[in-house]
Amino acid sequence: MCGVLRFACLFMALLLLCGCSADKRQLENLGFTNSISYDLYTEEDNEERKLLVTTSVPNIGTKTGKQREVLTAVTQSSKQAWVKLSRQTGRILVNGQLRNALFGMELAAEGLMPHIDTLVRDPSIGQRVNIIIVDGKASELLKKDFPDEPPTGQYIYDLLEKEEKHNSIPDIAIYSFARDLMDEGIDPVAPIIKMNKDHLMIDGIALFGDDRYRTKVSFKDALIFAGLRGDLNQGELNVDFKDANEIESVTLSSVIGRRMVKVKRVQNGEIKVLLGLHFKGSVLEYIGSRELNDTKDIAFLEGQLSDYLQDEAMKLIRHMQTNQVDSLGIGQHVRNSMRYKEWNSLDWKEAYAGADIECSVKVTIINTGKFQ
Amino acid sequence: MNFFRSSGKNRFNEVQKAFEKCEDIVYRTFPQLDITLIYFDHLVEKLDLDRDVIRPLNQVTKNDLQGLFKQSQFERTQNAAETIESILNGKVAVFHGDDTYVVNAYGPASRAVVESETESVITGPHDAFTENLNTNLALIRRRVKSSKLKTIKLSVGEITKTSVYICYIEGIANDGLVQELIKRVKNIETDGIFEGNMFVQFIDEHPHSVFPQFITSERTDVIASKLIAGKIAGLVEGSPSAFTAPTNFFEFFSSPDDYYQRWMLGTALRLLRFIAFIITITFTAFYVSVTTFHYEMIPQALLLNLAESRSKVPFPPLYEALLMELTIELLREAGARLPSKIGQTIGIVGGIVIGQAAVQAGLTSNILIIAVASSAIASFVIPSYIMSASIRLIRFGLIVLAGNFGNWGLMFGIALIVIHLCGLTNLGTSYLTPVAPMNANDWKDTFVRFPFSLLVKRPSQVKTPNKRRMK
Repeated sequence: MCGVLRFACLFMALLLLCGCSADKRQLENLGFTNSISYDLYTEEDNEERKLLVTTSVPNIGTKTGKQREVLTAVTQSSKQAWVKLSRQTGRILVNGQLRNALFGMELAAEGLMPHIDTLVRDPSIGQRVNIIIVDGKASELLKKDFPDEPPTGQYIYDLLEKEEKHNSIPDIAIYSFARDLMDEGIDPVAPIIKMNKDHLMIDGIALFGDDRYRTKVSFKDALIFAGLRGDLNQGELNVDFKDANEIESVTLSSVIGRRMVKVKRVQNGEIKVLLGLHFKGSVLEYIGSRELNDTKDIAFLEGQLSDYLQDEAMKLIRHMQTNQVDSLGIGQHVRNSMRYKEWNSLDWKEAYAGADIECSVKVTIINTGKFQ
Repeated sequence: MNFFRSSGKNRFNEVQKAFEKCEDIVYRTFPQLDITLIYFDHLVEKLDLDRDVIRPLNQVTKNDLQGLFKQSQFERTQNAAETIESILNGKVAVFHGDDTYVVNAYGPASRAVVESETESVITGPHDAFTENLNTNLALIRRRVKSSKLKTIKLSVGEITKTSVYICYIEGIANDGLVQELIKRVKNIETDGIFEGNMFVQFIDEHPHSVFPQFITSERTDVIASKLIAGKIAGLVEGSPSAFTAPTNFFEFFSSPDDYYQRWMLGTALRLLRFIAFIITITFTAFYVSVTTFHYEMIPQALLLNLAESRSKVPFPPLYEALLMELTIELLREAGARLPSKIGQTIGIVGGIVIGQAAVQAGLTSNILIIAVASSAIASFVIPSYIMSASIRLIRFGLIVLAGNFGNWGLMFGIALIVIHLCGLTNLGTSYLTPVAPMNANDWKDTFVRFPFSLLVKRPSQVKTPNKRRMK
């Protein structure tokens, strides 16, 4: 009986004291930051470099008539900014629903490590936050409203998710970014977006050396880059090439790509890397003089495509080598081919720039579409 | 004359005295034969009385009386107490000189065998037990035509003297369990028992548990099928609910429909009920916990809608949820007590009040309505009404825990329930068989319902000496 009474008292206490809990996050009192952007900020008469942090918080209901609230703060570090941002709104600012982290190009060139650290360390921030580099000022992009599109944060998210599915940009989650950042055998990458007059556009892929932005791959080469970086399950490929002085153009769709990496050691200890790519796809569009019903012509087309892609791939690889960014993860394969001690004594960054990397591309056309 | 036997006159007086102020008793005398009949008019069947007693007595001469009393319907009683008990059991007492006989003409008014309202099935037999014990026994005997079906009669209740039959199939049911059950029935100390579900509360091992520990059913086919599975059934006089033992938790989620439909459907329905169980105990609590503590878990597409509908509500999610759950329980209870014609009104009023007005008035968010309504509906999916009522009660505890401690509280509550269930026993067997102790063979007929060709063994919980079916 005493037990029952005690239980009843406890139950009543739970009912009556539930308002006293301090760590509650009641939905209607929260401001969910959807996107956050970081930029370098320098005042005109002051050399000191500060951080400009902007965040976009969707509004709940139609109390203000605006779909979102944009907050800005200038501080030394990103956590200080958080306090300053919170001071400006009536809602409890929380970041458990963060989707995009945008970085201005200038800041990216300075190094992203401290910001990545903040984002990864906070347990309420998910592993799937998108890391995005903005060509220009990130805060300007985030502040801008695009009249034909959903609220900017959501717009960025939708745009990138879609592109990621089609392999035109690599996996952009902070999880992959941080993982590649910590791995010695690969350098991280991130998509670059750019503002048009009233739309956003994906501009290419930013290549990082450690945490600093070094160079980029243009959007045109994005699929080849994706194929070089790993296996593909879906994608679309546009190729223009010359045939008898006429420019012909082929679009391959449903592209499946397989990558193979071979690391060889030549006698004097030098490293030779062979990248083998095999693309399979169906012809969706062909502008040119040949009959695609003929197996000979298909073989010719495959040859043309292979040559073109191989050239492009080699150009990309050389470009990365000159910029000393190992975005393809060749270091991982090199590391796997040798002992730990050997890898430890090897300065891969140095070796990479001068490494002998060859690439061979093979294209197979699976079918040529409905038009016979 | 036996020393212990009182004389006929004394005995008659004793009986008469016992039934003083019982104005519904009937005395009927045959002066020329020196015979008096005592019986309750409403407990005996008129036709039987006429055929077995009145007509023979009218036709017989005084000299042939001894011959008549030798017929088998006349049982000689030894003393007044026995006679009184027989009269109370619907027999006709015949006093003749020093001898007393009783004739069974029991036939009280009872309702016909009709369909069970609480356990209806779509296909399958529709007959259900009634309040009449003999009818119920007949319904079982009609289904199990075996002399191995044994019935042991016991009596419970100091005043009501309610008959209880323990039925089992010899050679299939475990003797130890039968003896244990009989011992428990004999140990019951109470004035009276009126219902099977009430009866089982006197014999279960954990009277303070919220969970029912003996499964009860009004369905004849259910009881018969459990008997041949090796379980022991109990019938209580005056109650249409029969119970079976040993019972496990998962039995409450099976319905005869599972066996009457194709096995894949049976399996799907079983799984549906377990999903319903999870929904009914956790859905509202999960809503409370997520909206109070774990905004991170809400999918982005739902987040703004949810926050918008919450922003109009002046209460914290816990009170909001308790308010709605309480309203639903009020509606259910009101609907259960009212006659079905007025019950419809309740449905309409409840539908409008809960579905529309509460949201428009800003008392609740519309997503909570969905949570509360679906957990209420899910609770009715569970075939046993007693179990579904228990589960609805537990839900309130989980909601309060979720409102105070979030998902941690919810998990804590579920862990407590599991710990409690693990501790329960029924007739000494674990309540969570076949999960703990694990028995893979029983799983074929627990969460799923395998085809009959694979269900060759009887459940392990009954501890049968005859493990394979068809023997």
